[in-house]
Amino acid sequence: MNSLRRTVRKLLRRPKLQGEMEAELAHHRELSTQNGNRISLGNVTSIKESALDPWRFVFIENIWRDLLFALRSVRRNSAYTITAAGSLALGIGVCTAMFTILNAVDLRPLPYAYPQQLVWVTQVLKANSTDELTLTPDFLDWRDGNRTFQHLIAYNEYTRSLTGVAEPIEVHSVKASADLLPLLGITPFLGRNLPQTADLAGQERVALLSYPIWQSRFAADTSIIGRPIRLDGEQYIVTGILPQSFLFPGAEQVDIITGLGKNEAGELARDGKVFTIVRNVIGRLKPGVTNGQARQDLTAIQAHLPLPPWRPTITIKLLPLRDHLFGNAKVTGIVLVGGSLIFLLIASANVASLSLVRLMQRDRELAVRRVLGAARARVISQLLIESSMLAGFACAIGVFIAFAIRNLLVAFGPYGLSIYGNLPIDLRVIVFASTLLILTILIFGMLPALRMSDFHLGEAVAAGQTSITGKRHNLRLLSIASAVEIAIVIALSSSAALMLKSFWNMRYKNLGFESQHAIAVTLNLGSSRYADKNREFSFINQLLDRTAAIPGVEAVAVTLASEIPPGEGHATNIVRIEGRSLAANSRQKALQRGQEVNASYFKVLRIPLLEGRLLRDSDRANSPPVVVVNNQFARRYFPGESALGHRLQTGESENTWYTIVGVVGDVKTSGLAAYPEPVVYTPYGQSDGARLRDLGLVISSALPVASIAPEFRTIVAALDPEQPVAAIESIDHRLNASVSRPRFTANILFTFSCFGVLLAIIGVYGVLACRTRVQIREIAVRQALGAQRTAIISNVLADALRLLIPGLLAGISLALVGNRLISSLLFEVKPGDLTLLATVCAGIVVAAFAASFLPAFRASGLDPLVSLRQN
Amino acid sequence: MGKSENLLQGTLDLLILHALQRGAMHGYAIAQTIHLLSDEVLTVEEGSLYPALSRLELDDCISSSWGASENNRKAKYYRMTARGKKILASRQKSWNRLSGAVQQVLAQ
Repeated sequence: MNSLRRTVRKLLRRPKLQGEMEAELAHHRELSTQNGNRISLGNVTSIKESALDPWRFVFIENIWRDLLFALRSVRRNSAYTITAAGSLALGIGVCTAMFTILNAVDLRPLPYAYPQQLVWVTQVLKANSTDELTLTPDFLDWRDGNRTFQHLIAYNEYTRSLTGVAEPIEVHSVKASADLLPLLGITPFLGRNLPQTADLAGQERVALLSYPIWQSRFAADTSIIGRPIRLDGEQYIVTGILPQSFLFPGAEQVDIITGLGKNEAGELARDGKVFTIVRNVIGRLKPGVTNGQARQDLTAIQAHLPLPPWRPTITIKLLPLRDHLFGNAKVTGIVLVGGSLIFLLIASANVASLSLVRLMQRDRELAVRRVLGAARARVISQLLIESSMLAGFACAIGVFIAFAIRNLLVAFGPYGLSIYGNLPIDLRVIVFASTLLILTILIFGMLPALRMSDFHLGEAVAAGQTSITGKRHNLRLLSIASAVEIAIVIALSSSAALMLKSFWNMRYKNLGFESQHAIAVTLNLGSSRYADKNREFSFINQLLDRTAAIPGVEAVAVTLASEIPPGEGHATNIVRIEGRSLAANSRQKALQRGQEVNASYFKVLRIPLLEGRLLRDSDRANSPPVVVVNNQFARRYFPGESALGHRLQTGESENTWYTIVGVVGDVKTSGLAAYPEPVVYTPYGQSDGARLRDLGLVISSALPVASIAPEFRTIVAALDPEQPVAAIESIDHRLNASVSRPRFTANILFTFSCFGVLLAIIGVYGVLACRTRVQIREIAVRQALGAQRTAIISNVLADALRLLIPGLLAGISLALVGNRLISSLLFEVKPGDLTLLATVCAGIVVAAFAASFLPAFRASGLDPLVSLRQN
Repeated sequence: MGKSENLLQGTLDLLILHALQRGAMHGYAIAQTIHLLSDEVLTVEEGSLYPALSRLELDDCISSSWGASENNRKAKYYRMTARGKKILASRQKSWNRLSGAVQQVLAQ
């Protein structure tokens, strides 16, 4: 109470007192002189200050004054501020962003009740190949016979067409056991869970809608519950809507969940009449049960079950659900956070050396303060406040950076992070960022401040010593740090350069076609309406004609969806060449990628004709069967001779002999990271249409996708209102998407290495600036004795070399070892690419020399008389 | 008061309050009063006087107001408050006890 009254009095009375004090003292002096007393020698300002001291909030006001002073000095030294705060901000930002990944995948609990009880289970079947999947009858026996699980569920994923809504779309759906929601501890937002009977065949036509699909396709209509929707042309009754916050425990989010629908009696009979698999099994353990006990339990059940006819060995794999979902991301997250922490450490060390340099420039100011009686604690607190302000500023920007790039990480990140939508920034992330802040303040603020106040600066000024860096071993430490930085940066930059070159090769080199102005469309004609070949072809032909008529479309070609570049997988179709025996060993079988196309395919993608002729629209079912092969096919199977005129049989049509009429250039259709494989192009008119149900169109148009897409959708809807368009996108977009993973790695490495180069430059600058400052007397004496400017400069540059050479040597050896680690990620680049390494080294040497010129010039430009007098 | 100021902290406060018992005075008058009452032994410098006055005012022992001085100049007058009187009484008592005790020790 008393202290409150005092505070109020201070606030109210003080402004007035301040003005009055001067008049009062003047009056006192006047009277004193009049009465013939000796004039007292006190300093009016100092008396005023100390008289008012009791009225002040001393602690707070000192901090406030230091803050103002710090602000002024920060503004005065904007170059220093920007470099220091910038590198700290980047360090903190990158660290925090990496931490949000680790936080999401490893530290944050999964968004389900008691997530530590959730496990992912699978059988590992080993025969000729190893498969991770579970036989349905075995799953059923596990489910009914176990003693360690509260729930055990299975689900399979399907892409299905949702029709009967405004515009048919493809949805990502799962068929799951009804126990899925109770297992996760989730209740529907509206309606009920799937009934238990939905696990049985014939009763699985019930569906749960995800919140987003309910909002976007059913206009959030609550009356949808109990009404039917159409999936792949079949009716499902909606029983409930999933909560908005629901996250499906898989790599991809799910739009619709329907019943599992297994013929349980038939499966359990194990007579081979009914036999299916489930790809995902999730379990919730009973409280207190360990993973090991659960595995033992299942293994014991498995031991009594009969083996399937091909008699594989069956083992059981059981993982915590989190590890199954994020296994890789966790390791990557730890590595990334560790790496970025090292960067932050280097950044802090750099900023510490920078602030030392700056302190040396201010040693006189600080010494004067000490001489005038500033307490040591006050000087330390002033320096600390300055560095805290800088670090706080940097931290604010850093968190902002982290906030901005975490979404990029999700978008481009190859990990299964999409389950979270946005990476959450929670209390843990904030605590992490604050810890970083305190750490950086300690490293780069506390050390120089303590060192600074440690010296008797008054004496230092008198003795003319630059006392702050007086001890040589401190400089040596800085030099070693700087050389290590250079080494790390060389290793990192050379990896980044390799990744960039590899990415470039992958994305742009030897594509074999022109991707500009090409649009890819895929449709899944899976519905039973197209089981009839005639209906299918009539649909395709009409679609081709009408699409070609869209204004702005130059040409349209038909192909298989899976063969539109970049394509995927490897060639697996067998081809029999006339006159050659089919080798028994499958490795020597002639393989090919079959592609059913029309004549304009080569025109749209500008694939060059090398020999013979292209396919023609006249190559129809009733004309002689012909094919065109690619260069790879011709070279591999007809080395040293022309492929033209030879006949072959493909796996799809074993009774027809096709004549090779042309050879075209190779196109990357096995993924951008793989070399072109042998390809056989068949006229689509001579195909049986079965593979064409995964229909792909390539459209050549100068117009952007956005203006073609609506027209195209209208045409499809007019031809068949029930038929969704799976995707319509530019081929460039498809190519970019297919290399998102290497692009992400290359980008991350590139960013890190740019940041690293910047840090190394700052480090070199800091060390050399310190060193020239220490040697200032020596330099002055040499100048006075007649040393030339160039001699001084070359002296400093020689110092720079002394840092650079060990750094370079260490860096090159580190790079040669380190680059081998990423060799598996590289495409058409060797890890020991010396030209690249030399380029990187040259770049860093140039940058380091540029950084050392500044202190060199400053040293050489000093007036020896001035520096001698000053010191 | 010179060097003895540090010897017995709070003595100056006691002397100022004692001087102000005679009525309102400005700063110079307080210093002079103490000087005279001590037979010119104690000299209160402005460097100690004004901080002490400021502290006492903050503690609510004295209050101040502007008035005309004897030579018709504006001067700041300090006067004792009720709290000041109480504090003076208790400080005087403890001072007496202390100085009596010191006397007694020195007399033996």
